[in-house]
Amino acid sequence: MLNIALPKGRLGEQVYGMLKEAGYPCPALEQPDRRLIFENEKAGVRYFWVKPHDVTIYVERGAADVGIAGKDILLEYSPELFELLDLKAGNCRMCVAGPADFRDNRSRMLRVATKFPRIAGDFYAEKSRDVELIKLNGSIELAPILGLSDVIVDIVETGRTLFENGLTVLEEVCPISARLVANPAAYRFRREEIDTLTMRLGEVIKASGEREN
Amino acid sequence: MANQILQQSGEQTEEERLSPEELLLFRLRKLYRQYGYRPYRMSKFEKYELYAGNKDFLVSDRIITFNDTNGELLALKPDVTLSIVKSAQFHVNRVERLYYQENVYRPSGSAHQFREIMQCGLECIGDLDCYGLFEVLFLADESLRAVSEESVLSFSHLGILKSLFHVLDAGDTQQEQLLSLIAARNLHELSALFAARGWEDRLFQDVKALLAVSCTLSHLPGNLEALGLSWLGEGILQELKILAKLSSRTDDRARFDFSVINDIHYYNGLVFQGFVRGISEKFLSGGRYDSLLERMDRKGAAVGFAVYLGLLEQLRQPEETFEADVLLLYDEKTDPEALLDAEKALHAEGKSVSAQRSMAGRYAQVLDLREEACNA
Repeated sequence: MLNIALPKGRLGEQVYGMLKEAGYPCPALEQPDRRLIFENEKAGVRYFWVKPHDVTIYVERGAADVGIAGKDILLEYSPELFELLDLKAGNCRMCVAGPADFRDNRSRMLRVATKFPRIAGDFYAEKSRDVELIKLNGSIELAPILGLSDVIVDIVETGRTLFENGLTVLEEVCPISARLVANPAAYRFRREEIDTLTMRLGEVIKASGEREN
Repeated sequence: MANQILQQSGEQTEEERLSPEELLLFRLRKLYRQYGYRPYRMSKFEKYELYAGNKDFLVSDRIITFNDTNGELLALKPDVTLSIVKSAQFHVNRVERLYYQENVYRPSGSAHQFREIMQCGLECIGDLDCYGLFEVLFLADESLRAVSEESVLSFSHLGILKSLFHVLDAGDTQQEQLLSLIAARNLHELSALFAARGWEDRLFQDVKALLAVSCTLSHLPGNLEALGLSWLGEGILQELKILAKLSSRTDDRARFDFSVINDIHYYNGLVFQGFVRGISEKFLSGGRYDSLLERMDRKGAAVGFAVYLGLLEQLRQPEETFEADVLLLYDEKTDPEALLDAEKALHAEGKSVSAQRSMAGRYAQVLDLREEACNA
């Protein structure tokens, strides 16, 4: 039985759809109830719904063999996991955003508000830019509006929230999408199962790409 | 099967009962001594400068430091290998075979808090040849088997990576990127990196093929030859052929896994990691580290590994635990001599006893010596 940690929410539901198409359905999971664990013995899978931020913890600690995690989480926390596949789902961008008329004054420290201090820190370190990182847990867009920071580093999907708050994308840090991750120890014992799952998911992604074209 | 070591520790008599960690240590000591390894003991502290100059070699660069009474900065040792290498002597045609069991102090777990970690391992240092190299690989596998048959020793050869870096003419930054992507088996970003750097696709296909190889050591030279890696250094294949011959005369369990990578600034040649079913991270790690010797101005070559005994905790199942077999319940009216006699009688039956004046706690049996109960 392969234990799979799915992120709760729209992305998890989308990826479950892909897993179902790849031959890993679980009818119990499709029922509207509040359970968190679902099993399909015939397909050899057990799914868990977990908070998106916690997927890598479940996989790293071996509670799940594989899981679906955003690239943002992988970059921010660098868990020791195998990253087996880009699922090309939940596509968005990690961006620097700020007021449209923002001009970086390099004679002073740049104040950056973010939920992702490591990603933001690495990005500015690469540019040798001296920054003060302000770690926030939500409503990041408020920070430049209230003068708490000069810019923000955050995930941008459509840019609508930024626009409605008078902000705009200034620079792209990196693209983000959902990734299939595996626990390296579990991989050593279940390599065939995990490789098969990876291959089948890869075929689903390819077929979906071809349909879109 | 995964709990073999736990079950066996529980089967012993009271006098012989050892914790799983103690039982494993007992077995490993016996195994290492059989192969001529001598125990190596060291102080809990080392001069901080030993670690400060070699932080990349350590599992974590965070070290507990303190000032000695003479003002010298000392560290609670986070590692054992550096101390052993520091005192190693080189002699032609001779290797030093040493094993250790030590507590080390470094951050661990997802919270990265400092912990005391029980570790054992061995080092083979000196005029090392392929036989010594294979012996250590073999002992690493035997160390895993001492825990459970359901274990895997994965190995790779860093010479393959270095040959790849050479043919790609990869600089330091690109080498770091390649290492982290190969270690994560991240083919999609590797493919993007090759395309972005303008590296030949056939070389990406070689890396992809190497990551797909999963075979025992005895089959590895044949499989590498079948891949036709034109850029692979001839010396690597020769070394692997000698090791493969030796491996074919044993159980030949170790499996090639190109994603096994240790720090290339210290390690070279054979590297390996051990896994035990039921433990979520590597239980054993090691390899050949001539480069560390070179950095520490020591002659010769070295290979060794560490076994992370504390991880055995992950194999434990929740169990019914009692504070003692029998709770002897008494009150102020109970005759103390009767209480003592009752306790002695229970001890004679081989039971552990706790005398208490209240019912708190969990016990397999309760014997009530309170006056009310005796009169009832």
